[in-house]
Formats: sequence, C-alpha cells, structure tokens
Amino acid sequence: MGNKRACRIKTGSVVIGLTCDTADVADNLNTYFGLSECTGPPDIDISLHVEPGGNEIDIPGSLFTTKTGGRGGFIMGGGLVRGAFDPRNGSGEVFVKETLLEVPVIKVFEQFLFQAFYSAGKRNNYDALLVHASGVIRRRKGFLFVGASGKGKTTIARKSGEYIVVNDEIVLVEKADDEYFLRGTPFNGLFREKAGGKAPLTCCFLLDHGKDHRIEEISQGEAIKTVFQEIVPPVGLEDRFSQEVYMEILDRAEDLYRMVPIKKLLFRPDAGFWNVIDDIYRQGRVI
Amino acid sequence: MIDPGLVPYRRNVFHVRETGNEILIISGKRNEISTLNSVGSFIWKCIDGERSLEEIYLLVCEEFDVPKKIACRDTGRFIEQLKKKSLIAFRQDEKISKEI
Repeated sequence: MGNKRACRIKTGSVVIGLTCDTADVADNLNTYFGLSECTGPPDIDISLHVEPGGNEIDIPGSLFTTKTGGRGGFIMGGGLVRGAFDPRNGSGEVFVKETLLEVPVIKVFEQFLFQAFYSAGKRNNYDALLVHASGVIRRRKGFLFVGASGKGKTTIARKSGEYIVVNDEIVLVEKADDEYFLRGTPFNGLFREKAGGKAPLTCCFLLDHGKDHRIEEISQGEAIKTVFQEIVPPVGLEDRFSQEVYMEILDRAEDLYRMVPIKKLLFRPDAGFWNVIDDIYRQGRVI
Repeated sequence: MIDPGLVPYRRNVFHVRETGNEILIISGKRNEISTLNSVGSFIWKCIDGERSLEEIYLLVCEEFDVPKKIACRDTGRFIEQLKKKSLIAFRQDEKISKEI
C-alpha cells in the first residue's frame, strides 16, 4: 500500500478508510481482516488512534446500546471507543483503547466498523444491511442462513466447502433494482476461509439443530421476527441509537420477507442439508 | 388462576405491527420482539384497559366457538404469558365483578 498506516475495509460497494497511528496497527488490522490492497479513495476516512489501557473497563456485548453522545461525537462501551464523525465530509477521528484491538475482543471493535459501514453507505445511498448470518453462494444462487450463536452458522459454512462461503458470521444483504443480493464482508467469524462473491439472494433459512435434515414452513410473524433479531442495527457513526431504529429494522425484515422465501432448516452436522434444499426447488416450493 | 374480575392493560410496548393474521410487538428496554398468532392477536386486541378478563373470555368463546371452560383456561394461560413478559399489567383498583 502507498500509505503503510492505511487500512481500506471494503464492504460491498463501500470502502471504509482507517488511517492508523503506526504501520504496526495497520498491519494488525490488515492481517485480522484479510485485507488486500484497495485502490481509490475511501468513502469515509477515519483517523484511528490507539490509547493505552482499557482493561479497567468491562467489555460490553454491544457498542450500539452503550453508545452515547451527539452532534457527531460519540462514546461507546463506557469509553473504550470515543470520537467524532462529520457526515458532511465523511471524515472522522476515533480513539480506541488498545485492549479492544486484541483478539478475541476485537470482535466487539468490529461493531464500530459496522457503524462506519452504515455511515459510508449513507453517503453513497447504498441500500444494504449487515446481517448476523452465514452466507453461501451455490450454483450462482445466494443462500442466507440465519441464527443466533450456537445454531449452526459456522457448521453450515464448514459443510459447504465446495461452494463459495462468503462468511459465517456477518454478511451483506444488498438491495438493488428491487432485488436482494448476498455479498460477503471482511468481518470475522470462526470460519476463516471466507471468499468474496455476490449472487441473487434466493432463500433465507432459519437454522436449528435436528436429528434429520428437514425444511419446514414458518409463519410470517416468526420469519420476520427471526430476521429482525439478526439484522445489525443500521446506525451510522453520526447517529444516536434510539428505539426508532427498531422500526426501521422491522420494515427491512418485512421487506425481505416479501421478496425472499424464508424457511426453517433443521439439520444435522453434515452436508446432507443441501440435498433437502435441492428437493424443495425440485418440488417447486421455492421459486 | 387469575381473578377474572381484573382488568388488564397494555404496558411497556414500543411498537405493534400487524403482519398477516399475526401481531409483532416490540417492547421493553431491550426492544424484545414477540409474535402473537391469530388467536393471541385477537386476545391482544381485546385488551383495551377497559374490559375485564371475564369479558375477554366471553369474546373468545364467541369468536372461536369454544366452551367457556376452555376459553378461560387457554386465554388465562396466554394472559399469564403476557404478564410474565411484562406486556400487560392489571388495574388492581378497577376490579369489576359481573355475572357471566
């Protein structure tokens, strides 16, 4: 990279630029996210400063619900992250406690980057959501596997090795020309062999464990509820986290339900679930 | 069993949305989401802060054509679930006694 202190985190069609204090910090982030050189200017550019300490602060589960501040300034996680962002020019500055950049806690720091993604997306009118899900592209069709931790997202990824696994933790669901697409993200789950890709989102499966592979129909309410719970709140760095966000998430979950079949998949930890998925297509139960 | 003379009212609810014949409720500080099926949705709509449980049981009997005993039992269980989720409370001082 021309600037050794720079990271370029490309997520879908937007690029988050981080300019770090040192090349070491940039290297660590580039390695962790598996970033390759990205040419062109970023959509937003944030100066990242690492501060010592952070061990004295309890690491929260969410940088969204612990976010305070306004007028472009923010504090998250009780001071683990603080900074400011100007959406008018797409630039900002953030101070992060060093403990938050250590593995595995860095997964919490990713939530700052989720917000940065949404800020970058807003500047480009990019209609896309981050979803807590596993995503696989198979025969040019995108499949979304949604579920809380422990429901099998990583197992789905591991049993889909012959296909394109875009991610087992956070995927991008992009809407363009009244159609939904599945895309990967650089964010990390347990499955590190993620690949890039983009495909029309064909079906969304709500995961659960089962003795056998089975696909079940679910009610509209249950489908929307489950998707609702796994959408990363579309909150930018400049936004306050308010209850109104949940109404937007509900709108998006309803829209997804309207456009993409959502079914329940009960499965064993083997690749046979792809056969039952093939069956429902053959039976015409998924268009 | 809950006193059928009690009057339930909704609380702690941020947003209610009907979807198909179900209802989605976003509630609480953590914005939990609950789904009510068609029967639950009907009962939820009956909870208006004015009707007693007795009156709601009767409405359920009429709507779903079930014996009073079953309506009381099943509706009562559902009401208890709503109470447990802090979606409803009871007006303790507006207990209404009516003969069924």
